[in-house]
Amino acid sequence: MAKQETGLARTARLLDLVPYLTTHQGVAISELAKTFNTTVKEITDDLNTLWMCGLPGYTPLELIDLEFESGFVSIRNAETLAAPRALDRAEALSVYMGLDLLSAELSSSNESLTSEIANLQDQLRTQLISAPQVQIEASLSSEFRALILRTIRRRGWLEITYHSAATDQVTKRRIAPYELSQSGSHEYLQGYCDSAKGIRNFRADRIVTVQEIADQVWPSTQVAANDQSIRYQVKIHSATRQVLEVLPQVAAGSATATIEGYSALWISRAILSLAGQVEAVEPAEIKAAVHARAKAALGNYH
Amino acid sequence: MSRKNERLVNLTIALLATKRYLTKNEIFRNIEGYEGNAEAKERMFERDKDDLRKLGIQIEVGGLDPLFDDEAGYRIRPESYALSLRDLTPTQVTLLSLAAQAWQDAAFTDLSQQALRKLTSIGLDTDTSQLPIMAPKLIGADENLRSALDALTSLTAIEFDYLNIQGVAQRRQLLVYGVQARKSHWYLIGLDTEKDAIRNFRVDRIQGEVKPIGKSQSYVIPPSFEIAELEPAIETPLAVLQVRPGAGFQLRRMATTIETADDWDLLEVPIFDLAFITSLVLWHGEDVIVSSPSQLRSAVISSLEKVVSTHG
Repeated sequence: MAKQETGLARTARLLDLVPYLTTHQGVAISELAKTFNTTVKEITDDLNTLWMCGLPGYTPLELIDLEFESGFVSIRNAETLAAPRALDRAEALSVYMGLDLLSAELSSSNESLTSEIANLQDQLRTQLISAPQVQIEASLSSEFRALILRTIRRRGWLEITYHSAATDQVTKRRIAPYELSQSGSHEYLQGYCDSAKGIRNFRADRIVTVQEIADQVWPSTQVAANDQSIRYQVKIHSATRQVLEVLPQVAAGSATATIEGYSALWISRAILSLAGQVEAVEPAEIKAAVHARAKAALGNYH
Repeated sequence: MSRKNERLVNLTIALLATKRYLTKNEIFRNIEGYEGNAEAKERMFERDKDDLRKLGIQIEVGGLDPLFDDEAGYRIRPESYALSLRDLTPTQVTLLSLAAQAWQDAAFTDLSQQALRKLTSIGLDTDTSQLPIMAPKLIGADENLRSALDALTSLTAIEFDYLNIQGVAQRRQLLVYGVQARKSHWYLIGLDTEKDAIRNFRVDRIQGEVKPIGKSQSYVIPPSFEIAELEPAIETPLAVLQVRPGAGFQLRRMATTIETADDWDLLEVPIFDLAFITSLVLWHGEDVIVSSPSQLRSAVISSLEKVVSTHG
């Protein structure tokens, strides 16, 4: 089931072309190539091959009848292969998991759709030999996603409430959203933030609410993508998995690291949360900030 | 190569169209492309059967009428060949298409496109009137997740190097039972064969490649297996935390009870993982005080003392 652009992938394409053509009579060869993610030449070869196929006897009565000289394809006499092939197990599982996400995003907002999804999942489960367990959590509700995408398309404005891990505050921000994108394992909403007067990234799973607001003027001038960054140096006392994940710039096995950060508050919180496994060395302000935070917290216990 | 493709398509058509089992001799006589001596044809046919099975096509083997012949025959049942999702409504086709499109990562595009083409071939118009316009996205699905899902659908054991808590990669062997996407991470859940226990593995903690080991269909998923809900169980111990009003947003989301007061709010937070809660408390600095349990309290105090002394 691994990727295989081999002869077998070609056979699969030949078999799948027939049902597709049956329901898309008159489709352009160029369109077909795009749909099947291949070249016009390959598709033309495929059509020439299919033309030679049919039921035993292989007279014009039994052969698949294809017309494509005009650049548009029509098919006849191909009833035996006309039904789309069953999803193979990997395809069935991928669709099953996609449905799980869809259901999680729709959540309670649309019960008739979620029960429809459950019904489809039941049908798909019968195709998987022994039923695997699947559980998908959504980072954004479908309601928020739809609102964000709609606003991006019409170049409008949104007001979001957002939890920042660095400041531990939930704030309202007016933003002109540019795009929803992914980076690493997180989904981000990128946009011009009116309160920060610059482009900011918001982690989708930290967006608490989204609301449409009256449009403001779309920021016309090119705004700087980021404020100046902070370079800081740390000493690694134990390179545990937690350290490598909180500070991905730390190379496993190295004793020190120089890291680029964007918020002094985030940096000192992160270093304190690593409980002494990492020590701030430079700049002095970061080191002092970590010390001050730890000392103040310790004061709570005495 | 194209001769072989032609032969495979012709074989599929003939085996699908037949109402009874076809013997090898009938196949060699009637289907175009079987050439050479008996042995060569035989070899060709064996390979062709394997190839069609690799494409997920089930070839049924059965006997002919025993009065005449007991030679085995072959056929493909149309109901096993064709998409079994029947009588789909436009809304259902749309849901399935959106689900297939949720896979945006390169490791999955061939899979989702193939599924999508089959669904489009049903020839039904989609109905987006009451549906989200855009497919949601499954994020961070890489080659290793793909390999693990292939292993899950074919029931093949896998092995991989996994970064343990100490930050050291260790070889693990797993029978995958399920997958989970939680808090923006993918998890594989299954039987760790060495530990003989159910374990979770976060996919991005796998170093290098996930490799299949042994044959497919080599295990079954116990019907009783279920991914545990991450609801706090009755036995999950609770941490009692004092939290400054307005602070500790994440802790408040996790809390089972919140008692508000003027100086400090009182939160009860389930401790799924002591190290995780310790870090989270430290993250909040002086805005959070641990009241109990004493184990968490002393873990936090000693961490704070250590950081104070190294940064002084």
